[in-house]
Amino acid sequence: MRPIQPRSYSISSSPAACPGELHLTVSVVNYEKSGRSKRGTCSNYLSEIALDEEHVPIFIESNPNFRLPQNEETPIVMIGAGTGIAPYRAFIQHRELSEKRGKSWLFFGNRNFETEFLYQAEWHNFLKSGALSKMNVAFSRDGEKKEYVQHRLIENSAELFKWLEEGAHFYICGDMNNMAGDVQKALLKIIEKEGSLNREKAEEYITKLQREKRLQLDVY
Amino acid sequence: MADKKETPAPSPIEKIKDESAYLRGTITESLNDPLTGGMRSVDQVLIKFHGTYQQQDRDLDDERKKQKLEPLYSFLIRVRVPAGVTTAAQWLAMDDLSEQYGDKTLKLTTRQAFQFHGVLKRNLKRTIKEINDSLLDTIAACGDVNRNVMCSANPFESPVHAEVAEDARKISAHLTPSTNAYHEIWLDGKLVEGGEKEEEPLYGKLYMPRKFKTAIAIPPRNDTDVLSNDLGFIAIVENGKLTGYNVTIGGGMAYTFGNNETYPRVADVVGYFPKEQIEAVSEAILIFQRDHGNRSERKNARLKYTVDRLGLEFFYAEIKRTKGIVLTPNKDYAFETMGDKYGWLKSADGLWHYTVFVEGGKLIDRNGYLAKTAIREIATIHKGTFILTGNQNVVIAQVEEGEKSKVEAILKKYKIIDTAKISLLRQNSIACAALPYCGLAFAEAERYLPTLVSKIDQLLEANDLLQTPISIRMTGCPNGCGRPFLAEIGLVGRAPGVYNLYLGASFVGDRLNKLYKEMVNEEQILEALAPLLEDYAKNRIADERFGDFVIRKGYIKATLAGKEFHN
Ligand SMILES: Cc1cc2nc3c(=O)[nH]c(=O)nc-3n(C[C@H](O)[C@H](O)[C@H](O)COP(=O)(O)OP(=O)(O)OC[C@H]3O[C@@H](n4cnc5c(N)ncnc54)[C@H](O)[C@@H]3O)c2cc1C
Ligand SMILES: NC(=O)c1ccc[n+]([C@@H]2O[C@H](COP(=O)([O-])OP(=O)(O)OC[C@H]3O[C@@H](n4cnc5c(N)ncnc54)[C@H](OP(=O)(O)O)[C@@H]3O)[C@@H](O)[C@H]2O)c1
Ligand code: HEM
Ligand code: SF4
Repeated sequence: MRPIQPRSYSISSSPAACPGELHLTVSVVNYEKSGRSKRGTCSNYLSEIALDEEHVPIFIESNPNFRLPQNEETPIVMIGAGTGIAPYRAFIQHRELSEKRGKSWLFFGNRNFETEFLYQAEWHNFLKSGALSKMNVAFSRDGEKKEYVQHRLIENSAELFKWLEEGAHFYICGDMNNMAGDVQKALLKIIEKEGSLNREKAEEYITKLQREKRLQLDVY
Repeated sequence: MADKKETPAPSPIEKIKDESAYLRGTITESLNDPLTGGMRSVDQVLIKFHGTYQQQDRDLDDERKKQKLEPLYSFLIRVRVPAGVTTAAQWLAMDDLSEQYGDKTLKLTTRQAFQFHGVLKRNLKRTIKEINDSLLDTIAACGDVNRNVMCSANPFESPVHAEVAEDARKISAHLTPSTNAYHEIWLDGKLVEGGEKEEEPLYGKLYMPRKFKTAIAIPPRNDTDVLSNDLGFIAIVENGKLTGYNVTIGGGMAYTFGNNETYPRVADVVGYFPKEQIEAVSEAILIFQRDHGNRSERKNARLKYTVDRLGLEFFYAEIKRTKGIVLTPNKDYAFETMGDKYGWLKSADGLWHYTVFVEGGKLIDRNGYLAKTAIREIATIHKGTFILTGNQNVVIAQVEEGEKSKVEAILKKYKIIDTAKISLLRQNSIACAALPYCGLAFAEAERYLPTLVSKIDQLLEANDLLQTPISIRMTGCPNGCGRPFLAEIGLVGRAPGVYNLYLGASFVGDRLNKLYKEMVNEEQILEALAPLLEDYAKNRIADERFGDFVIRKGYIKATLAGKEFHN
C-alpha cells in the first residue's frame, strides 16, 4: 500500500493575532463519479474526525510568493473565491494589529450569500475597525445569472486601476482551473481600458507587476 | 396641548421620523448594501411604515454565530387588504409570491391582511413591487399610521355588508399616508421635485405617536374585535338599512410585563353619527390622537392612554373644535360572538360562501394536509372573491349555485377539514406568529397552541363540554398580536414553555380577562383548568359562557376597565 499523499491548506489565521493557534478553511469535497458518491479523504477527515482527535499530523510549508507587502502602508487588493478567502483572513487579522496599516480591498465570491459568505461577521468587524477598507462580493447561485468576482472587478475598473497606479499589491487565491485565469483576464481588460494600453502593453504591465511581486497567486 | 406640565423629550423614534424626509431615510442604501442581509437600524424603523419588518430566524442564531455568519435576516411583509376582500387573481398572485420569495407559507393575520415570512433582503423590492402589480399594497400595513381597516366578513351576506365594506375602503383610502417615498423606493417612481412640504397634509412629518388601528363590526358579529382597536365603528342597521355607526375609541391589547402603567383596554363606545360622516369622524379622531398622543413614552402612546389621560369631555370638545363633529347618544346593538361561522352559508342574493378554518391563520402544505394547495386550486376556478376574516380564516365568497359542487369537490379532494369535526375550542382559537421569527417572543405560540388545544380538548371531552364554544388565544409576549386579553382562556408567553394564564373575558369581546396564574407550564395550565372546567360543566346556568362563569363563581374578578386590569 502506498501512503496517502499529503494535502495542502492555506492558513487562515495570523500567528500574531492568534498565538498558538492555526486556523484552516476547508471545503468538504464530495462528488459523484460514475453514479457513485465519493468522499474527499482529507477534507472529510478534517471536518469530522479530526475535531475529536488529540493530534493531527501536519507540517508547515512556507510560501514566499504569497505574502503581505513588507511596507505595512502599501495598499492591497485581495481577490478570492470559495476557500480562496483563507489567507486574506490571516492578512487582515495581521493588519488589524498594525497602527500604520495601508488601505485594503477584498473581493470575495462564493455560491450563496446566506450560507457561504465565509467569515461574514468578521469582515463586518474588520470594516468597522478599518482593518479592511472596502469589500465587494459576488454570489454565483443567488440570482438568475452567475455573478463572479471578476464581474465586481470590472464594475470597479477605474478605481482598481487607481489603486494599481498607487502601488497596490494584488492577490488571487482559490480555484486554479477557472477562477484564476478569468480573474487575470479581467485584470488585463482593466489595465487596457483604464491605462489606454493595447493588449501587448497591458501584458507587459502585468509581467512587470509579477516581477515586482505585486501580483501574487495561490491557486489550487 | 391640554397638559401644560413640562414636556419630556420626544422618543428616539420621533427623531427618526422627523429626520427621515417623509419615510425615506436611507432605505435604498440599506437595500443596496450587499454585505449584509439586514437594514441599518434607522431604516429598520422606517420600513415598518412601508409594510415590512426585519426579523431573524432565532432557531439558527447559535449555529450561525459559530459559523461566523451574521444572523439569518429576513423580512415579514404585510399586505394590506381593506375589508379583507381579494379577487381570485390576487389570491393566486399572493400564493405565487409566497412560494417564490417567502417561506412557502401564507399567514392570514388577525387584521385581515396577508403576511409573508422569510423574504430575503435581495428579494424584498421585487416582492413588494409584484404585490403592487396585483393591485394590493403594503404601505401603512405597519408603522405609526392608520393600519389596514378591518370589516366584518362576509360583506356579501347582505346589502348592508357591502355598504359597510365600502366604508372600510373609504376610511382606508382617506387615511393612507400620501408620501411619495413608497413609490420612489419600491416602484421606481419618480422623485417629486420640491414637493416635500405638501407630502403629508393629514399626518405631518411626525405621523402618529404610535400605531393606529381601525375596524368596523356589524352586529351581532364582532369578528373584528372592534373594541380592541384605537378607532372602531359598530354598524347600526334600522329596518334593514345602514343608518350610521356607534363610534368606539381607545381599545388596544399591548402591555409590558412589570409596567402597570401599561394595560390592555376595551374601547369606550362614545356616541352615534349618521353614515355620511364616516370620513370626517375618522379624520377628527385621528387628528385628536395625532395632536394629543404621548410622543415621549411609546409604551403610553396609543389612543387608549390618551383617552384615559385627558378624559372624554375633552375628547368631545376637540372633535367639535377641529372638525365640527357632534356625536349623539349610542344606538342599541348587541354582539353574540367574536367567532366565524364555518362551512357553507347562503346570502340574500342567492350566492354561497364557504368559510375555511385555518389553524393559527397559517396556510401551509404539511404532513399530507395540503390546505394551501387546495385554496390555490379553488382560486384557479373561482369566479367570486376571497375574504380574510379577523379570526385568521378565509371565506371562499360569492360562489354561484352552479359552481358550488366544483368548489366542494376540491375541498373534498384535499380533505379540507370539515369544521363539524373540529372541536369548538379549536374553532375559537387564535395564536400569534411568535417563534422563530418574532424578535419579541418569550415563548412559542402558533407552533404550540394546536398541541395544547388537543390536551384541553381531552379535559372538555371528559366533562362533556366539546359542544360548548370557549375562546382561547395565545401569544408569545404581551404585545397582544393575537388579542389574548379578550379570550376566555388567555395565554401569554413569559419564558420558553412558560405562560401567564388569564381568565374571565367575555365571549363577545367586550370585557378583558385578568391574570389567574403566573408563570405556569403545560402541566400546571391543565391542572389549573381541570377543576374549573369540571365545575363549569356541572354548575353553569343555561347558556352561561365560561368567561362569565368563572367570574360568577368568584374564581376571578371581572375587569371592567383597562386601568383595572392589574388589580
Ligand atoms: C497550495 C494549495 C492550497 C490549498 N488550500 C486549500 C484551502 O485553503 N482549503 C481547501 O479546502 N482546500 C485547499 N486546497 C485543496 C486541498 O489540498 C485538497 O485538494 C482538497 O481538500 C481535497 O482533498 P481530499 O483529500 O478531501 O479529496 P481527495 O480524496 O484528494 O479527492 C479530491 C480528488 O477527487 C477528484 N475530484 C474532486 N471533485 C471531483 C469531481 N467533481 N468529479 C470528479 N473528480 C473529482 C479529483 O481528482 C481531486 O483531486 C489547497 C491545495 C493547494 C495545492
Ligand atoms: N465542495 C465542492 O463540492 C466542490 C465543488 C467544486 C470544486 N471543489 C474544489 O474544492 C476546492 C475549494 O472549493 P470551494 O467550494 O471553496 O470553491 P469553488 O468550487 O472554487 O467555488 C467558489 C466560487 O467560485 C465560483 N466560480 C466558478 N467558476 C468561476 C470562474 N471561472 N471565475 C470566478 N469564479 C468562479 C463558483 O461558482 P459556481 O460554482 O456557481 O459556478 C463559486 O461561487 C477547490 O479545489 C475546488 O476545485 C469543491
Ligand atoms: C412576527 C412579527 C411581529 C412583530 C415583531 C410584531 C410586533 C408587534 C408589536 C411590537 C406590537 C405591540 C404594539 C403596541 O404596543 O401596541 C404588536 C401588536 C399587534 N400585532 Fe404584531 N407583530 C408581529 C406579527 C403580527 C402578526 C402575525 C399579527 C396578526 C396575526 C399581528 C397583529 C398584531 C395585532 C392585532 C396587535 C395589536 C394588539 C393591540 O391592539 O394592541 N402582529 N405587534
Ligand atoms: S404577540 Fe408578541 S410574540 Fe406574538 S407576534 Fe406579536 S410581538 Fe411577536
